[in-house]
Amino acid sequence: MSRLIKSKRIFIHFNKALCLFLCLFPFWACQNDLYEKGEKTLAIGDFKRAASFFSSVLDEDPLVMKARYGLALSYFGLAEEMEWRGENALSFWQKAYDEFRILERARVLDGYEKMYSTCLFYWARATLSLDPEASVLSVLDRSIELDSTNYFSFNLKGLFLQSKGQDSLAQETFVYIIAKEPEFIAAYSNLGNLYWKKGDYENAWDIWSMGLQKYPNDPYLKTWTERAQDSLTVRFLMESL
Amino acid sequence: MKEWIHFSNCQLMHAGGEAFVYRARYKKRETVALKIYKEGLHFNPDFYLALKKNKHANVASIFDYGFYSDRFWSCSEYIEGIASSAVAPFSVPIALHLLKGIVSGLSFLENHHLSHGDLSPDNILITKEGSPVLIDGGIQGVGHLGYAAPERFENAESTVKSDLFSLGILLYFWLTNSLPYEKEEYDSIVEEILHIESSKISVLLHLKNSFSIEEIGALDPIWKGLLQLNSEDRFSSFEELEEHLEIALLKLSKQAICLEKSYKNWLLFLDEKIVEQEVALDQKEVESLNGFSSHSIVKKPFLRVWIFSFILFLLFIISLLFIFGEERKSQNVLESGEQMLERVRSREIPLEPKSKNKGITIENVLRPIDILNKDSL
Repeated sequence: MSRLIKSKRIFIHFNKALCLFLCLFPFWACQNDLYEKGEKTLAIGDFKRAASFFSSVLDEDPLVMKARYGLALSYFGLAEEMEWRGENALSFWQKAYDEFRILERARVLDGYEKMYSTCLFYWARATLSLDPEASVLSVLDRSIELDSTNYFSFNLKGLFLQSKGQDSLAQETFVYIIAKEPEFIAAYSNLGNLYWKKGDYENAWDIWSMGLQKYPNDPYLKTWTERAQDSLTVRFLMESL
Repeated sequence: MKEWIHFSNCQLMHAGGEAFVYRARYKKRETVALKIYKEGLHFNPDFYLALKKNKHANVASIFDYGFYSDRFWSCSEYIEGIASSAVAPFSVPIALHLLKGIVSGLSFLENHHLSHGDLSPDNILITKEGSPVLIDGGIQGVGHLGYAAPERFENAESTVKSDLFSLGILLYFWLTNSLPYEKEEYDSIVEEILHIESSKISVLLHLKNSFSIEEIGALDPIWKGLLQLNSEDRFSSFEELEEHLEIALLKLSKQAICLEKSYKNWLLFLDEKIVEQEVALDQKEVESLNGFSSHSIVKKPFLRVWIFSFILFLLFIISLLFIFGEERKSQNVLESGEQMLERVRSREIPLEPKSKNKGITIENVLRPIDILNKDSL
């Protein structure tokens, strides 16, 4: 008798649990519906709406980290659009940066690090465009730490170091980029430029011409390679005289 | 699996031969009638199960039951009313009206394949509104001796037919405040019941000098359908009894004007008695009773429950599929991130500075279009 009652009770508790689940399911489904809309709008590049949907999901449950990542990406997309329009997008980069920082602290989602790294690069760049004296080195280092293949951050770090007069560190950075990613053309131009400013026309010509070999049609490399070559020729002729 | 139930504010209402009845507070919420039966009494769990789930105005609902120191207890809806035995006799129309209510309650029990089994004036409470409410059903045994059907003395189960017989005795009591037998010993009562004759009842009523010829005549078919030694000779169902009660009331409808006045007086009388009873009860000592284990009324798992469970389970599976489907879809955010990253990283790096004089400096390289994509926008 008692065993029968026990099994009946378990059965009833099971039913109660199922009922509870099914009662809560619509709330979850409602939240998920917003999340799904966020995903869809993000995928088609409607970043404004995506940000709104993901924000609503997070208002209901701030621990939905995928929604937070979606929100960060939406701000990222909005910031990009502003930059394309020629506007300073620091405010949106900052918003994206804030969301990524929360994701970083939560440590429950993987796969966002590269975008976080890229966001940091953009944030640093937008910050510098407003204030060239701003200290962004730690942010760039964090960006590189998050993604060691983010050569944009390396490149910006090199330029920043160069602007601060740390030419040797800048030089090392550009050389590192070229060694690791020979296709990253900006490093050739920046390294050549650095040599040129130092008066080391020979190395400047070497680097620019290396870049030109990879991208023969690039007008900038073409121009400056020719200019360096002319300078070297003039110098050689002057020395000959 | 036992659950311990706590009753508070217990006040003894009645200490009878078979049980102690308390007015008590159940789980600190409802006021209930707590009945603790004496040892040896058996109960029918189906009765409690049915009354737990189904309600009827003429049957007190059961909330719980269990054991208290090896004795069976039950707690039911507390009816603010008075036992019909305490306010009998009644006029014929009122008695018939009350009996109609009881028949309605018994029909409800019959619909759930149950029989009360212990009909007596003590087990019928009358509320302030004049409505009768059945209490204390489901106890297995002969029931109240004076009201038991003849076959019940031969250990037959309580049935609709046996309840019909008990209703006959009950009606007689309500009209006369006495039983149709004079003996008080068990054997004598059994002997008298086994020789009861419906025709004798009309004579007994006539001898009481309290009933008119019309009333005795109107009641006669009812006795014939209820107080029969052979259960087959009684009414076939409660519905048939109800029809005869209607007919009897119709025959007595000439008294309707009188009835209306006497009925109002009777209600006032009831109200007064009930208030008196409640006041007396309020003054009684509050006892502390502990150690009630509940059998937590659990309905037998029948088909409906299984179907319900199956539907629930099916919904659960669908929900899980939905969730997993969503999980699969939710990769889209990560995919979107990867696509955005790919787009950003695949941009060519511009080489042509905005100011040829200055070459590439932070000021111009930092411009987004310059550094990422000379072709973009």
